[in-house]
Order: sequence, then structure tokens, then C-alpha cells
Amino acid sequence: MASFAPFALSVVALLAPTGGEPPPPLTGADVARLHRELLPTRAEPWETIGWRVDLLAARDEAIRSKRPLFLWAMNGHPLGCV
Amino acid sequence: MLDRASSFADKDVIELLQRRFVPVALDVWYEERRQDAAGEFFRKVVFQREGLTPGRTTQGFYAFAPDGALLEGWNHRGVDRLKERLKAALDEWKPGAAAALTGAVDSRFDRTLPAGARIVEVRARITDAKWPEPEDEFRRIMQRATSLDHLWLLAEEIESLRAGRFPPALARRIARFHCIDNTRGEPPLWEPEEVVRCEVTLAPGTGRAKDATVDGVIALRSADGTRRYDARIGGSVEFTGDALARFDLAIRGTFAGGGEYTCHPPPGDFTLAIVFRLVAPAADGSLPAASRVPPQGARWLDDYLGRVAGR
Repeated sequence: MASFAPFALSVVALLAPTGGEPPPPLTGADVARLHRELLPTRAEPWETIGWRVDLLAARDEAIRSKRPLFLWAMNGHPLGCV
Repeated sequence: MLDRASSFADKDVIELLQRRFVPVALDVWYEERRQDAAGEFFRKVVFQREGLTPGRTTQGFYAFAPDGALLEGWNHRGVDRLKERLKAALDEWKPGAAAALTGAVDSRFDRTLPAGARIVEVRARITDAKWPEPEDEFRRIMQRATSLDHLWLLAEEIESLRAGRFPPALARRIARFHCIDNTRGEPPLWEPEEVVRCEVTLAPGTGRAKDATVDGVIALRSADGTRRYDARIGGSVEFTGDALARFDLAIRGTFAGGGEYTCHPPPGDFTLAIVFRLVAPAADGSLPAASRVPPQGARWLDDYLGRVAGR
């Protein structure tokens, strides 16, 4: 019996995305898997530090608590884009 | 993400910052520009750093007193340096008086979440690429990094979703401001004319009555021809009564190219995946600190919210 494998491979090659072709639709399983892979399931260590995002409110808190401030300043928010 | 994954994952640093400092994180783009008490205080602190003159980036690390006196200031990452500088700051620190700072906020740089809007967590990662062997630990971290940003969903867009329609303005915001490779630094965003295709639909789901399925195609091309993204978007949206309960989307596609601040992209084509998940408030109604940070694209707020005609 002739093998259908070469024919199947040809069909896959013809259907494979080339430059500019949209990828195939994402299934519910695809979305769920990507969520599992990219989204943390618990707070990451840096998140446990308790970052404030308002400078003057942090300053007021530092005065009340008699602590110095530590500022992490970046181009692009350090808790966000970069 | 380098510092999040290295210096600020160190347990000694975490304990020092939790117990001995009031830690604050800021985007210098706002603080360098705003003309109000917060901006003036920021500039007062940072320009005490040795070697920092106007025109140079103010990004870095600063330990300082509430009266604005700088204790330690530096701009080189590394956990050992961070620990050393934090301890030095504590040795120099003496509590003292500081006057209240008041005055109107510079509204040009106010980024309050619009009424009725919801915040969506956005994470991106390069999931398949022909990476070269990393030269050092920082390069290794970058190759595996997952970025973090947030999307704002406006009230009228939520209403549109509830009515069964994926609003075009939301699709364009996702394409222009969130289909970005921000895994290595601040990425270039997409101009309106660089959106070649952006078609996103919402169809009734086959599961529970109130969920709907998202499907769409996004194609982006930079004007200079150096950057492109061909992607598919999918996922589901669910309402409980009138309230948006889930906004679980994913985008996956082929990306090529980098940007001025996202150097060293993988060679050739690579797969960039992006996921979206609604941020849920805690039981007391509070939001995680990171989700209170405005989206990167919100620097250009009117454009980000789709309020500039023709963009």
C-alpha cells in the first residue's frame, strides 16, 4: 500500500506560514497553556518588598516611621515595562 | 527585569528594604518632566548624585532622607554593590525633621485610571528563538525574561464586550501599545500607519452562557522595515451579571527586529507570546503595587486611550 506520508508532508509544507501569512488560530488549550507558562502563580520575590509608587506619599511615610527612603528609578517603570 | 530577577530577588536585600527603608519605584520619564512638588523633590534628590548633570539620565538607585539629603546614589546594577550601598546609607542616616510638601499635581503627568476602567496584567516572553550562547548571567536572564505591563480597559469598551462586540479602539490599543517586545528594555511602540492588519472578533462561546470567544489577526510593520510582527490573538471574555469577570487573552506570532533600547534581539524570526489577565483586587479592595503603575504607552495618554483623531 502506498504511503500517504509524503503527500501529508507536502500538504503541511504548502500550509506552513510564509512571510506575512497569519499564524493559525489559537485554541482554548493554546491560550490556557500560554497563561500557565507566562503568568506567575504566586508573588515573585521582588513583589514582596512592598514598593510604593507615589514619591510624596512614600516621603510622608518615611517621616512618620523615621526611616530613610530607597528609590529605584528607571526609564520605563521598574515595576512595569522594563 | 534584570534587577527584578537578580538584585531584588536577593533575600538580604529584600529584608533590608522591607524593614529599614521605605522603598519606592518610579519611571523617570514622568519625574524629570513634572512641574510640581513631587517632580521638584525628585530632581532635588537625584542631582546630588556625583557626576549627574542636567541632560543625563537620572535612572539609578538612591537612598535619601525625607528632607531630600542624598545618602547614597549610583547607577550600576549588581547585588553586592546594592547591599554595600544600602548598609552605607544606614550608617550615614540620622532621623530628622522634614517639612510637608504640598501643592497642585501637574495634571499633564497625572495618570489616574479612568472611571469605570479595569486593569489587565500583560506578560510577554520570547518562547522560541535561535539565541546565541549567553555571554554572562545578565544576558541569560534577558533571554528567558518575561516582561510585565498593564492594559487599561475603558468602561465603554467593557460595555461593548458585554454587548458581544470587540471594540476596534481596544484592538488598536492592544496592537499598537502591547504587541511589543519589551523583554529586554523599553521597546519602540507602533505608529498608526505601521498597523497593517488588526481584525479582532468576538463570538458567543459554546460553554457557559456569558463567555465569548476572541479570535483575530494582527500584522505590524515598522516604517523603516526593520521590525515586524505577524500574530494571532485568541482567548475568552466572561461576564458575571454585568461585571467583567475574565479577560483571558493570548497573542502568539512571529517577530523580527529590535529597538534602540531593546538591543540584542534573537537573530532572524522568533516567536513572541503575550498573555492578558484581568487584575483582581484583594479582599480589602487594594491593588498590587505593580498594577497601579500606568501602562508604558500611557505616557502619551490621549493616543493610548484612542482620543487622538486619526491615530
